[in-house]
Amino acid sequence: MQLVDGNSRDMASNFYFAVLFFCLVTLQGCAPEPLKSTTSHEGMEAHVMTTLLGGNQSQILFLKPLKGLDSREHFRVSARLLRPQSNLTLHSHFMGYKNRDGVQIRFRRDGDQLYVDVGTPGAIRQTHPLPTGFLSSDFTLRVRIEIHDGVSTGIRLILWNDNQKFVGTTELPIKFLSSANADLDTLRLGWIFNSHGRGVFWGIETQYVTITNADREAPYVD
Amino acid sequence: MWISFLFFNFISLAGTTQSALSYRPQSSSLDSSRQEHQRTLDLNIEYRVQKDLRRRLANNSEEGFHEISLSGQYDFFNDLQFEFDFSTEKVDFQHQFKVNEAFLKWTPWVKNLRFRLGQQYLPVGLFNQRSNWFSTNPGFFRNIFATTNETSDLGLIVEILPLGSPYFFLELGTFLGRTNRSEDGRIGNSVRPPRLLSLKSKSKYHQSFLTHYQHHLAFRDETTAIGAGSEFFLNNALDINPHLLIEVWRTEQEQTFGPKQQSEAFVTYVGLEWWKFAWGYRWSVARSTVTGNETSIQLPDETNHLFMLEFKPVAQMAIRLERVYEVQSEILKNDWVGRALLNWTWK
Repeated sequence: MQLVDGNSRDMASNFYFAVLFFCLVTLQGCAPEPLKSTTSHEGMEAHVMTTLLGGNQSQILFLKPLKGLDSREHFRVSARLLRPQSNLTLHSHFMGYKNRDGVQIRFRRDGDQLYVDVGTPGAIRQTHPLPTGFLSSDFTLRVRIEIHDGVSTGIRLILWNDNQKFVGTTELPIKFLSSANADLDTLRLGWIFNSHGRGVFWGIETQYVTITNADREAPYVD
Repeated sequence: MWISFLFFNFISLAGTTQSALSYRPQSSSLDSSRQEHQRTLDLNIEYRVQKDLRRRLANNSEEGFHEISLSGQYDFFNDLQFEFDFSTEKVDFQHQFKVNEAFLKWTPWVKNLRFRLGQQYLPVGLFNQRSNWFSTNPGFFRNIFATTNETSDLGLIVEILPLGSPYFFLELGTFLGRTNRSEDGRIGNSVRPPRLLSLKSKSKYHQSFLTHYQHHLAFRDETTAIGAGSEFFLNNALDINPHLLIEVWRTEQEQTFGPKQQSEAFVTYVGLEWWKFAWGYRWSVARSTVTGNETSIQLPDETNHLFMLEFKPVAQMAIRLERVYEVQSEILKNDWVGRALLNWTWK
């Protein structure tokens, strides 16, 4: 009898546990928990962690570290800015989206015009309009971004438009990259900003954007 | 018999050794011959051509690097000398004038106590005090000095020789930390000025150091570096002069906000000199770890190789070829560097 009682007690406890587990799973499913996955995307650097936030927002964290807290980094990003209010933010030299340290470069579409905002935590964000050639007719942005953090005068940002250059009916790639032919160079503009807190990761945060490529190359500017 | 013969050759040739690698004797040289009155003037001219061998969209090399430097020494008295080294360089169509050295050397008790006051190269490690030794320094030097160029600053160095000989001496130094970064256009007061403490040993055949160096420059992180190293000049009967150098460094870079970076690095140089030729190979590896809250990230190793071949047709001229190859998870440098170094001395 005691054995039967023990079994029924076990069965009851299993039942309660199953109900509790079901409730927890259901509640967790209802909660707006971000979806995280560590995957290798085609056209992107391997080992990325993607977080979908909902509302067509996403965060990508590249897990392969940068060269150091003080380093020169060169990024290539291609993306399609789908809506007039689309924006794409590149985080460099940061430790993750929790800290939001390092350097933030935000490309903000406003209709047909593209703006770039540069900022660091605790510093005033500085905005610069980019030439119309930065966005192709289908609102594709192909850009090369070089960031020097901790190795020269504060932070230096250099931007090149990586869209194909059209000469008549021929498409020609950019022939050379240097600070002389950069489309934006914060050193030339006299922008001065430092980052309070630096890390060794990089990531891309998007809203209404489809990313087609994101990778790194060796830096071009000494 | 043979041993004594070799020993005799070793000793006799060692005295004539002078590195063909544009070796500038350190300003802290303990050579007693400087006690004589002398007015020496050196004119150094460097022309450098650099070619990036990577197939890239750009050639970011410093093509057409021109440098002219003028250095000299004037002895006011037996125990008071003035040394200077000015240079002007043109890189990427930009001219820059630099005062590398301008200091007074006072030796009140030449065998036991020496002072150097003024703008001078930081006596940290065995590379920093040699202007133009190689076209580039290893990348990890940035962790120590906040720049990969040779670093000079305004400060005071005290050399204490308790035994009255350079085989063992103590070196203490403090600097302003305002002007020692030639890459920076910004000047700010350092939070903690650069300070160093070294135990050193020198002879005709070697020099060794054990150094603790610390600074917290404006716009930079607090940095502590501990390093040790030795350099040997050897000679033999065939007049092939080997030259060996090794340095080991441990640096810690601590941010006010954010993770800290710890690095271990070594650099070694092996050189051979024979007749009018010199050959050398420099190799350095740096390994860094970034430690934050509950995370520790191993960064990719940084490796630097430099091969050097030099021909010195006459004493005042050296033609040098360098191959620099640097990797940190990707090829950062793959350069051919051609250099012509001219040097005249008037006394």
